[in-house]
Amino acid sequence: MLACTVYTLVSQSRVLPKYRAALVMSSMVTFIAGYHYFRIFNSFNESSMKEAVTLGTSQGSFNEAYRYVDWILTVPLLLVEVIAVLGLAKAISKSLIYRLVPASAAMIILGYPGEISSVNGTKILYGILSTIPFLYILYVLFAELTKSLERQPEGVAATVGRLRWLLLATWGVYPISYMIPILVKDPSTSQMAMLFTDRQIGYTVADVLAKCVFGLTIYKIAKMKSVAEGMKDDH
Amino acid sequence: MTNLRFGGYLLVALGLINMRYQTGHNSVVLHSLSIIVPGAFLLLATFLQPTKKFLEQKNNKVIVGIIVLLLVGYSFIN
Repeated sequence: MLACTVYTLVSQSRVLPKYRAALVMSSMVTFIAGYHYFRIFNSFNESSMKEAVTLGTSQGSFNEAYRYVDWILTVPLLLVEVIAVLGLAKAISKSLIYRLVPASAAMIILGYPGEISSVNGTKILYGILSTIPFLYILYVLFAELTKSLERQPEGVAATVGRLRWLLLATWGVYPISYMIPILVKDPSTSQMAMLFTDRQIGYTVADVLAKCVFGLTIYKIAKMKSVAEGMKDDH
Repeated sequence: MTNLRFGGYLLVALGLINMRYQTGHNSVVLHSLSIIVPGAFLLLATFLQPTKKFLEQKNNKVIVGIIVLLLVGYSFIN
């Protein structure tokens, strides 16, 4: 995450000034996520004793709230980053931001009660509720990215087209990870430990894909568009 | 100005994650709010006309930038 931050920061001179904001946002997303992983590691360390991890919300226990604080701060930025690189008209960009940012906040806030609950029914209920804004975001972004294809320079359209599928594939890992604890009915203690680990791995993989890989694709699009708009490609 | 605005947002974000980490510890206010409050002020300052003018001056921009970097460093060590 931190390496990705450095890369997108130092690459700013390789794109036109109008696309630099998208790269700065990408750097911020990966830096905040990197900091979150630094703290989540501290928390994991503090809550671990003799190969067991204490879960909960009290001091010294591992709490999933970290991820949700990270997501509520970075997901809106991630969405603004996509809008910034598309180079849409100001009015369309504003309308997209006003629709997508509240939807992303709703998605995360609705997911949290299900995440911390140990009751499967509650998990499923909040999972369904947070899926509604999740699908809305995917629909709006997918539709807007498709619409913007015809406005993109030659060669860029194919990368923007792939960005749509990358978005769907990376964001799709989150609900799968969320569902992991529900998959086993009445799990034993060892199964619970395994499900917990699997979910942490799932979320981490999803974060790396959705933040680093996505950020690097945004950089690629910004660079291709800069070259198409007359910037000398000397790097 | 956009970069300073992002700097303010970054401090608020790091401070909130730091606060979650510090919850239950002593001096949470001192540790985490010392990152959140300057970040929130900076964020606000980039939207208000008089403070915006102040931040647009090169020297002030450099000083504020250094403060932001120091606070980012502090968020890792506290």
